[in-house]
Amino acid sequence: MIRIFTQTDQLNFAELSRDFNPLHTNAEYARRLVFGKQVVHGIHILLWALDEFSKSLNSEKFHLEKLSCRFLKPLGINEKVKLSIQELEEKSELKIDINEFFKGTLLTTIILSYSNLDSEVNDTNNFSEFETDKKNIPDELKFGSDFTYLKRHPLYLGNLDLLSDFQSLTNKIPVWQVIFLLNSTRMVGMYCPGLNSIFSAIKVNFDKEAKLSKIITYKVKKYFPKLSRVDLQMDWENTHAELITFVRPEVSQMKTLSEIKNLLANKKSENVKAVVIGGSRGLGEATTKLLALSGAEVLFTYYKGADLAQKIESEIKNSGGNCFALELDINNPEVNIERIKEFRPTHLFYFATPQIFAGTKTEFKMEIFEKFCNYYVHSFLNIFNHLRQSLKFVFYPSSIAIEEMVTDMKEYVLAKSAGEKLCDYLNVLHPEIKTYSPRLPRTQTDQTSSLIKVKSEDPIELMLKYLNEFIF
Amino acid sequence: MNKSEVESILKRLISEIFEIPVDEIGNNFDSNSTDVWDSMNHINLIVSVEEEFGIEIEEDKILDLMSFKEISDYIVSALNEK
Repeated sequence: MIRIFTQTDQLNFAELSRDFNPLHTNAEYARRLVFGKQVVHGIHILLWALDEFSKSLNSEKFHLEKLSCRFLKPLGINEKVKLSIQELEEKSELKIDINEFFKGTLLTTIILSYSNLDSEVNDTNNFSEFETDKKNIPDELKFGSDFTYLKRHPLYLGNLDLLSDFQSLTNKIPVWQVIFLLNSTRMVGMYCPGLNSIFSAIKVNFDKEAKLSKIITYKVKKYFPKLSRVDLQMDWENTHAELITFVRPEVSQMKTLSEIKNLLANKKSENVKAVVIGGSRGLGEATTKLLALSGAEVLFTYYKGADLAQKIESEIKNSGGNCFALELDINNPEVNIERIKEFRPTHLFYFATPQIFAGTKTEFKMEIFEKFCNYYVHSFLNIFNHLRQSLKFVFYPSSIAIEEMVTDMKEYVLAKSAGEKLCDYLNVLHPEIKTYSPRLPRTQTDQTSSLIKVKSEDPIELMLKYLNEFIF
Repeated sequence: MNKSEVESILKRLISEIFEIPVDEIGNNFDSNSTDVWDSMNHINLIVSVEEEFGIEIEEDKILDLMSFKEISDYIVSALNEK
């Protein structure tokens, strides 16, 4: 079975489960988080897998007994996955794997035991007595070293009409079992860990019958502060679940404009007209701010996230800087490149990049390499050629990853290496334009955030060092 | 617990965390051997090791333990110090 989860699927599932965590529902917000993309709810994948399994069982009714599910790697919206079901040696036990379709990477694995039901599935519970949770903004908890959590949450139901997305499953197993799983994602995504949560695994021992209590007890079993891991327990009458979750790093916060202004005391870049490609995030954003606040006239481009780019533009202007934002797809620059040419930039800073941790560790993926080459070689050269009449200086950031042989960055490293060499040739072919391609260290940006604290440079301080060398 | 017992238990933990058959985990197995060995599953492995062997791994060592050999050496050394 093959499937792609779409944005519509996501929003329907959020309505059903009442898990509106922006990691799952808001593409713009999610791309700045640790996975760099909007991610399908793990429980959505689990229920899809169970639904597919239920279809293979002809018309038998069954009851989930034990379930263990691990969300090993995130699945992004519009990514294709493949599901495979394997019967285990024990009767009525099976393993379901969900793999990424192209790379084959294992994303989710489920081990399930079930028993057949002799009678018709007939929930005696009256679901109309249960309320729908009105909460649609996740809690943002503070995780001190002594963090603890114990709450008795009302069992809420989402829009049960949307259970039709799992029609086969809900016809064959008691609906309360599905509702229990739906409540687990709501607890994790909306309450604890809440806003900054990652749902990693769930193990459930289902009771034979459930007279639904209106209360779920939800508590921290163990918190590992140094590892950002929170183990939780969810109890509902005699059905018990253990959940493994993580607290993901918050969106990386850059120094404020007033802090940047303090760092820039006596630094001037008044004769500089700079275009910053990819200037609304990470090192590009840092460069935009440093240049604009030191007197340069800055045009910065963004690909996605118009609201964020407009916010940066207005904040800089309110602080006395001179800049404007322009949408630019570097793979199709013709739409706005004339406006950049008319600007007659003297300086080009090229930060355009796709998601850098895109490869696999064991195989070389040509399509990923070509995508990186498109950004770091073809599009860079194309933009350089469009603008070279007015350019005096080009900054092309390379990376120390080239020296580190990181196995899941092979395609990135090769493309960046080609970009470095291209810069060397541009210096030979166009000696009037100084082109620099320094290898930058790891910096604190959206692209490099990680669950484990890794030493990394502050983007403002790093770019200030280079601008001191080349501009100020 | 001797070194061979530590290695045998560690192979089982790695197999469970990274969903790889035990017989595919050799002494050269490391974080480059599977895509599933990422930061999240590395933490899961560290927690399993701590719980299974009753040791505590120092925070500044967590990122140094990226291979079967490094982890088994660390466990043996920590158990000897107990």
